[in-house]
Amino acid sequence: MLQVDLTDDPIDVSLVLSRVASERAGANVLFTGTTRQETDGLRTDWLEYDAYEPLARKELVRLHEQAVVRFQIIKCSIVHRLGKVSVGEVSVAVAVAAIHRAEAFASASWLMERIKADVPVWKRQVNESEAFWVHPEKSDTLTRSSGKCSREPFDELS
Amino acid sequence: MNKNIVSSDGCLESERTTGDVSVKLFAGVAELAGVKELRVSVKRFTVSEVRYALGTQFPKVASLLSRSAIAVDGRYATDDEVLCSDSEIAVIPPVSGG
Repeated sequence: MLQVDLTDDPIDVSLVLSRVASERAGANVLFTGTTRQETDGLRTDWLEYDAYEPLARKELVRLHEQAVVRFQIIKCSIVHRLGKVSVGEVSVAVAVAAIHRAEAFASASWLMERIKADVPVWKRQVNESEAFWVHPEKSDTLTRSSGKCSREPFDELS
Repeated sequence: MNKNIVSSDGCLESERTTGDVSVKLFAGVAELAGVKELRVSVKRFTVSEVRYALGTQFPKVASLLSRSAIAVDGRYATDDEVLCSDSEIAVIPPVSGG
């Protein structure tokens, strides 16, 4: 069973959580990102996600491996949706199992920060009058490409 | 003269001069350029030459391109990285997953 995945199908969040089941775990965290109806005052009817899949899968595997080592978690699973994602539907799911809740919450938060900064996935925001690709002004993907160190959010939290 | 010399990174030395490379575009960059994949002519086989060629061919893309990373053969690359003529090159604009 894949621990990281990109899929055009709706994400089964129960399945994602079940992938991290472990008798060693005392804490299980499931984060889901969903399409919200309004962003910065603009209505959203749906989002469309695209990815550079070979690199996106590689980055997800890298983040998965880093999270296990960095936070000493037992297991994690990451699934990102591609294609059209309507309001209320899940676009990304991250599940983590750890011995204690502190590392479970911290690693899930760190994973989401890194997914949003490192993984080549893009969203297109669509409503009845306009559609546009979202490209954040502040992005550290470029600094990675330039060979500089990327920001490590957990360092700021710890 | 160097036609059949293969360097340590597997590229023919003859490929380090003028030629074409294939480039994949995504999201806003693809939308502004009007294509998802194209071949561009470069004077040297480096990532920075690909940036220059794309910016010249698609002036509308220049601003977003300057904020984009470049991936070569499935990994993020630096601007001085040397390419092969058959390298898989992708322009990665600021990501917005999640």
